[in-house]
Formats: sequence, structure tokens, C-alpha cells
Amino acid sequence: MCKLLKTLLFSVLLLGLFVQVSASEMYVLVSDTQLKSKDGKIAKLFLGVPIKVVKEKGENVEVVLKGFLFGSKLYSTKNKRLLIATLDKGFKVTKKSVNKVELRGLIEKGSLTVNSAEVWEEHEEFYFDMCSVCHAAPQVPHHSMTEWEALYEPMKGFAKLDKEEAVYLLRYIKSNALDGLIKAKH
Amino acid sequence: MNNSRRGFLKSSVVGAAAVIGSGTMSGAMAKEFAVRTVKIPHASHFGPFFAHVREGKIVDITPQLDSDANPTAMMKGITDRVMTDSRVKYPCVRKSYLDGKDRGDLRGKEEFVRVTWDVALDLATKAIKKAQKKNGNKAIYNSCYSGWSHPGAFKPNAMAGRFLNQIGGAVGTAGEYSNGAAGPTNPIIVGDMEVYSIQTAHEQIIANTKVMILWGTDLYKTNRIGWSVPSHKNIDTYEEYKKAGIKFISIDPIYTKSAQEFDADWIKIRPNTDVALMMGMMNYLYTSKKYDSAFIKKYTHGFDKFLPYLLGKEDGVAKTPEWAAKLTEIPAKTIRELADTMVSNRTFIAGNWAMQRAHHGEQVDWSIITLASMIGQIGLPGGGFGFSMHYEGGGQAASGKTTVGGMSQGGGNKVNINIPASRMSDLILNPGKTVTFKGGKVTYPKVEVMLSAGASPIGHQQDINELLSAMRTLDTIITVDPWWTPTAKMSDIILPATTTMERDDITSGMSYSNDRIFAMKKVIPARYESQDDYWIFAQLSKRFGKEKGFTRGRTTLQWIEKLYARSYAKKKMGISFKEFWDKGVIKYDVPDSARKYVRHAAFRNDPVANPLKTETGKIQIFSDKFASFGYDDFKGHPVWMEPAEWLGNKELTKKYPLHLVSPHPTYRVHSQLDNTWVQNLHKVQGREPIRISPNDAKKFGVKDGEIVEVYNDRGAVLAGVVVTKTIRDGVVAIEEGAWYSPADATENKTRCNSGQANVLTSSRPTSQMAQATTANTVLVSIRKAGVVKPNLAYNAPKILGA
Repeated sequence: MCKLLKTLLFSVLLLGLFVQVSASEMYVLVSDTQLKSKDGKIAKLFLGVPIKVVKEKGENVEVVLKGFLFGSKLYSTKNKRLLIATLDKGFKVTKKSVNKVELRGLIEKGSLTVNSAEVWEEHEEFYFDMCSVCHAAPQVPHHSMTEWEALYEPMKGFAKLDKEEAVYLLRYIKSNALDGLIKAKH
Repeated sequence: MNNSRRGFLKSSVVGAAAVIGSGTMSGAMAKEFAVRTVKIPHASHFGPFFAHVREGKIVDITPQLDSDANPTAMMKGITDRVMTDSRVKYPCVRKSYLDGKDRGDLRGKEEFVRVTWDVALDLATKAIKKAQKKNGNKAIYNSCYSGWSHPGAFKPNAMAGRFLNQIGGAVGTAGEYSNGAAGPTNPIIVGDMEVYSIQTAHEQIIANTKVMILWGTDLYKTNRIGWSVPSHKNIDTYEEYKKAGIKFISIDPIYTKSAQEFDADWIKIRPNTDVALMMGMMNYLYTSKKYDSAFIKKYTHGFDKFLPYLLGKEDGVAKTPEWAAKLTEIPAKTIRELADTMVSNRTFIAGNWAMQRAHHGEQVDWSIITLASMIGQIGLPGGGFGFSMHYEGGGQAASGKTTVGGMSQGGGNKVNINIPASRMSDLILNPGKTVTFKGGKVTYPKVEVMLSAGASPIGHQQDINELLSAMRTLDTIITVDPWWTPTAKMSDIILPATTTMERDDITSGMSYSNDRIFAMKKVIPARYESQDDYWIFAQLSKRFGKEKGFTRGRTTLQWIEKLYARSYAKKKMGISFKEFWDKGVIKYDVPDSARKYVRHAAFRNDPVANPLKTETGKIQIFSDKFASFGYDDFKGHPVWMEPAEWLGNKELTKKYPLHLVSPHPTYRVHSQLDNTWVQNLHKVQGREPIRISPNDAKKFGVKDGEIVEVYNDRGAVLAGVVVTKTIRDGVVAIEEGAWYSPADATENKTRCNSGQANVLTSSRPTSQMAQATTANTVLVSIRKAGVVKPNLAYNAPKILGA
């Protein structure tokens, strides 16, 4: 009985820890969301970018964003497959390794969500509308960003996308790809 | 003016003159008929056309000449396809099924009963709900994997998928039959599928190419039809190819129409040994130091890991021209000369798709890309390789403007099980079986219901006898189709669909040029009790409470208008839907800059700024990803592997000494139009022709025009002999797509009276990687046909109450 209680208690503690960690992970819900550093410099964040919430500060939250910095551009991977933020000149970052950096600052709470599916709702509908006319739509997380680009280039013509739509859709696909932004799904 | 167009117009004029000359129609009457005839614009896989309708009847089909430079005779078969007696006239149910008896074994063997739409739809609904209850939505198999049915926006596969997604999804298909092996290989190797990609513009070929290798490709034949609506402009362009003095070399067991038109040198390769030829050439180019080492260094990755294999340092077998000569039956001297010709001239390799529809088909494009890398002309005008010159007018310049798409399947598929194309029978026969696929695994569920719409699996699936056995084990088969296809005849519930001529639709042309939008206007009222696919699947959705989700409250015309609204014509040119619909066509200009397009030029010019979408940004002669799969029949670099069936197999060829290839048809899109008069242009005594060399005809004692039996362990078909010097010894060809017609459906592996090649092909997959079709890896033999029964492929079955 005692052992059972201990197991239960341990499980509850683990669950609590998981919930806490999960709750700290949020996603940018609005394009061009601003992350403001202590000295007022701005980083503009792309849709769906995952950030870690450190603490709440009224209307805002203090967050940490990790990525790979090349000039003023922050990418999700070191091979620069997906741009996730553009930084003001002089935005101070914490360097972790060669290009790996950490950004810290404030973001307006309303620009974030814990539910990544909410971010991509409209994109997802567009994806299925455009990419399941000739064949069934492949599952997006089944391919890496690079593989998706290789598949997307010939297929976008068949989907009859204009330039703007092509960029919009590729952003969704890459963000949700195997090595994209939504790690939890994989 | 080219031959085919001239021929077409000439025959029309002759036809008209004959009518007038015979005195059956006076000039005044002809004028009166013309006044009473309306021309309605429509479009098809064979080209855009006007249907001439008088008093509710289609009296003629004529091409839209300003959008079709070289009309084909196939277009003239469209009326017949609408009016044929092989139409499914009423909803029908197989007798035992309607009686509630569990007799799947009687499929294809018994009569049908005419029922009302309500009865048929209710029965289909009941079967689907029963399967859902038994094993969830994974008990439903959606066999409608591709939209080849017609070029319109309401593709039956999309309608079927949309309905199924509304109710939670079904087991589907990953990949495709056309390019099942190259499809998952090329993106990893060269960062693009290549098989569906815009090609180097014709103008660049004409201006720069000195040598064009037709590696299995037949530009004239396969460009006659299109995924969209073909313009056939490429036929005119090929006249410019001829004038440009390009040397053509055809590597093919068949001396194709294109080889004949271009007066090509013919390298009569043994089927399925093309990769060996490529290896022999590459070995020679390397050892003679004639290859472009600078290109290899700058633009490719992993040549050093491929080289030991090429030189035989891994397996003790150097892939020399002499080694290749034994496999390919092409002399080593010719192999060296071919390599020399290609490396010393601006050479364009036009690949095909049929070669990769063979055992180890993944190796073909990979080897061509590696060979082209050693030649070093990828990205140069008129050089390199192209795997789509034979498709959708490959080489035509792009308008750069948006045309129109189609209605989608939408989201909602929660099943997430997609079997590799070619695994249809395997899925049905082996629930619980796990197969490898692209580095992962797929486990088959137990499927109970199969849905087929707008295509005939008994046609495109290999080993038809295996498929028939599999289909007889299912609980229910539902087919939606305008015709009594071989699949419809094997089904339980048949829902008659309209043809495109009986409803409104919209489409475009072509996939690469994107320079036309076509109205596909309703020409005549729906025949018999047929209904639109849209209506049929909306009605099924309604029975699951999902009608609004399916239709979104729109009529078909509202969908058409919505699709048109996304086009450049509407958005940028301001052409209203009404104006377009009244006119029936929108034409876009093609900018001159598009005629300068050279595939891979950006990569060649700056591989750092424009990397390929591959692991290293370069051409992957070696792929770590592929190597990591650990398959014994698919490695990290291209290799030649002996196919399971080929002319080099001494044991198998004792029994089956002929290699059967089943190329794309000359007068069909796959099985489409097989039930029309157009087939009279080539059928032999009503059977699919089998082409055979004079030497083989003599060897087997068969004569031109004779019906013979072609057979192997998997089955037998009747085919009509065509003796021709345009096929090499040891090889026979039956074009794919004839409608299967069992001589005696009650007999196991009964002979097909029609000549459907897939009775003879194997469902063996290409490899553990792509699991694609191997339709071109087949050995057969030929014998006298004996007593021959009629070919009933195009007859409707017996229907009670009709």
C-alpha cells in the first residue's frame, strides 16, 4: 500500500513537472510579433516560432528564444532552412556556440498561444485545399524541411499557386516538417 | 506545317467532300444543319475541342485549333465514349450481395440487379458503417489514388477522398504507379522530383544541343495526351529539332515513333539493363580520364564512395564496358563510342519513366544523374538531363501566370495509413503484415470495404489474377464510374457517374506552360440515370450527416467560379467569370524570358547561393540518408542489380524466353478510350497488339495478324501479332490499358481475351525502399491460341430488371 502511494505521489509530481514544462513552451500566434530586449531593441518573430516563457510581467511575458544567428537573421537550424526572426542592429544576444544564440526579452501575452495547432489553422486548411486535388495530401511531419523543398518546387506549379501563396504555404509546411518548429508532434 | 495536323485536316475535308459528293446532303441542307448546330467548348486529356450539338445530339467533335496545334485522332473517340453501350446506365448491385448472402467469391461471375439510387446509396452507406464499427475507418480502403480520370476540377479521386475525409478518412496510397521509384529517390539525390519539373526550354535545346539521347523516351507518343489539356505545340517544335541538326540516339528495345521521326541511331538494349550500360560508360569515362572531374568536385557529393564500386574494389567486379556488354548485349566498343560522343558534344539525356517501373527501378534516374554529372553539362544550355520531356509538352516555356486548380479532398483523414502504390493486393491479402517503406514501416490493417472511383484498379495494378483473388475476400466493393470497367464488373455496388460532357467543369493547359484556362461546358444532359461524382459523394456524405462539410453549401457552378477567382485572368487581367465562361477559353502570353530557361543553371552558376535541396546542397552520388536505411536492395550509391526476371536469367528463359514490356498506349490514356472505335486504328482482331520481331515470329511460328496466347506462371492473355522490325529480338511489347476480359470467370487464372498486359506482370516491388511497381520486369512465352472466344471486355454484364 505504501509502495502504491509512493508510486502515485511520484507520478503526480512527474505529471506536474511535465505540465509546468509544457506550459512554458508557447508559440507566436501573430506574424511580426515583437520581442523587445531590455535596451529597447526589437526582434521581429515569424509565425509559429516556439519560445520559452520565463515569467509573467503584467500584459507581457519574459521569454527566451533560441536559434542560429547569421548577421541580423535568426534561423531555426544551423543550415539556415527556416528564418524565424529578424533582429534590430545591436540586439544583444547570448552566444552559446559558433552561431547558436539565445535571445531574451518581453513579448505581449496576447501574441502567444500554447496550442500550435491554433497558429496554423488557416494554413492547414489552405494546405489541404491546394495539395489534395490531384492526390491525397502527404502528412507534413513525414518529411524534413529540405525534403519538402525538393517536393514542393515541382508540385507548387500543379497546385496553381501564385508567388505570395507559394511562400505562405511553404512557411507552413517547413514549420511543421520533421525538423521544423513543432517538435512535440514528431 | 507538320504531318499530323495536315493529315487530320485532310481527312476532315475528305470526309465532308465524300458526304456532299455522295448526294446525301445538299449544300442548302448542310447550311441549314450548320445553322441548327451549336458548338460547345469542352476539353480533355486529348486536347480542347468543340462539341457540335444538333437537336440534343453530339454530331461532331472538332479541335479548338487556336489552342491545339496538332489534334489527335483520339479526340474523335470522345463522342463514342459518351454514347457507348458500355455505360453503366442505372445503379446496380451484384445479385448475391443484394440478397444478403456472403458470397464475395462470386464477384465477376454473376449478374447484377438494377436498383434505385436510394437503395444503392443506402447499401453503400450500410457497408461503410459496418466496416467502421468492426475495425474503425482503417477498414475502408480508398483505392482512388490519382486524378487521371479527366482534367477537370471535379476529379473522382478528389470527390471520393473528400467524402471519406469527412467521415474520418480511410487507408490510402502513398506515391504512385507512374513514378513510384523515382518519386522518393530523386528529391534526395538532386533536390527535386525532376519527373514533374519544368524542363529546359525547347529554344535552348534547338540552339545548343548537339546530341540528344532518347533513353527509353518517346516524345512524340506520350506527349499526345496530357495530365491537363495538351496543346501539342511540341510536335511543331520537334520539326525545329530536326532542322537544328541534332544527332539523336535512341537507347530502347523498341525503335519508337520518336526514333523514327528523328532518324535516330538505335541502341537495342536488353530490357532492365540500362543501369549496367550507364555503369560501363561511367567506368570508361573514369578510367580514360575523360570525365569532368571539376564538375564532380564542385557540384557533387560522395563520388569517392561510389568509385570503389564502379572500379570493382568492393565486389571484385569492375563495371567495365566489357562487363556491361555481357549484360546489355551492346558491344563494348559501342559503349565506349557512346560515352565518347556524349562527353565530347553538348548532350541532353532525355530520360523516361518506364525504366524505373522495373525491379530496382530506383537506380535508373540516380545512375543517369551520376552519368550526367561525370559528363559535366548539368545546368548548361542544351546539356544535362531531363525526366519530363515526354510529359505535358516538356520543354514548353511557362507563362508564369496562375491558371485554375480543382476541388480538394480537404483534411480530416485520421487513419494515416498509406500503402505504397503497387501494394494493393498485398494489403488486402495480408492484414497485419509490415512492409518497409522509405526508411520506415507500414503495417497493413484489415480492410473490409474498397472504394473505387474514376479509375480501374483491374488495369493499373500488376498481377491481375492476384488482385482478383484479393478482391474476392473483401466484404464490399463500391465503384463509381461511367462505364462497366473490369473493376465495376468485379464490384458489389456500382454507382453510375456522368462523363464530363454531361456536366460543367473547368480546367487548364498545360502543367508547365500554364497558358490556357478552358471551360468544360455541359454538352448534353446526363444519360440514363447517371449522376455527377459531386452529387454522388454529396449524397453519401449526407447519409453520414456531412453533406454541408462536403459541399460547403455550393453548387458545382459556384465551385467553378470560386476556382476561377484565384486565376491570374480574374485577379490581374480583370476578366470576369461570365466573360470567360461565354468565351470558353483564356489565353496567356508566354514571356520571351521563359524561353531562355535552362534547368539547374542557377545551381551551376552559384552552387553556394543556389544549393540543391539535398543533404549537402550538391548532387548526392552518395546519400547518408539512403545508406542509413540498411536495405540489401537499395544502397547509399547507385548500383546495378540483377532483376528477378530478365533475358540474362538462363533458367527462367528456358521456360519464358521473351521479355514483355508494356509501354504507354498510342491511342489511349491508360485504359481510357479502350471502349471506343478509336481502337480500330490498331487492334488486331479486336485484341491488343503484341509487337514481335521477324526473327522471333519465325522462331515461335506466329504470323502477322494472328491471335496468339501470351503466358507465364501468373496468367495468360490473347493478343494480336504485329510483326515488326521496330522491336529487338527477345522482346515483345503489349501496350498497357486494354480492358481485362476473362474467358471463363469461373476458372482460376482464366485467359484474358482482350490482351491486358497486367495479367502477366508481377506485383513484386522495386525494392524495400520505394516498394514501387515493376511492370516492366516480366518474362513470357507465346503459343498458339487454340479455340478463341470473343472479347467481351466492352459489353455490360447481365443486369436483372434493366
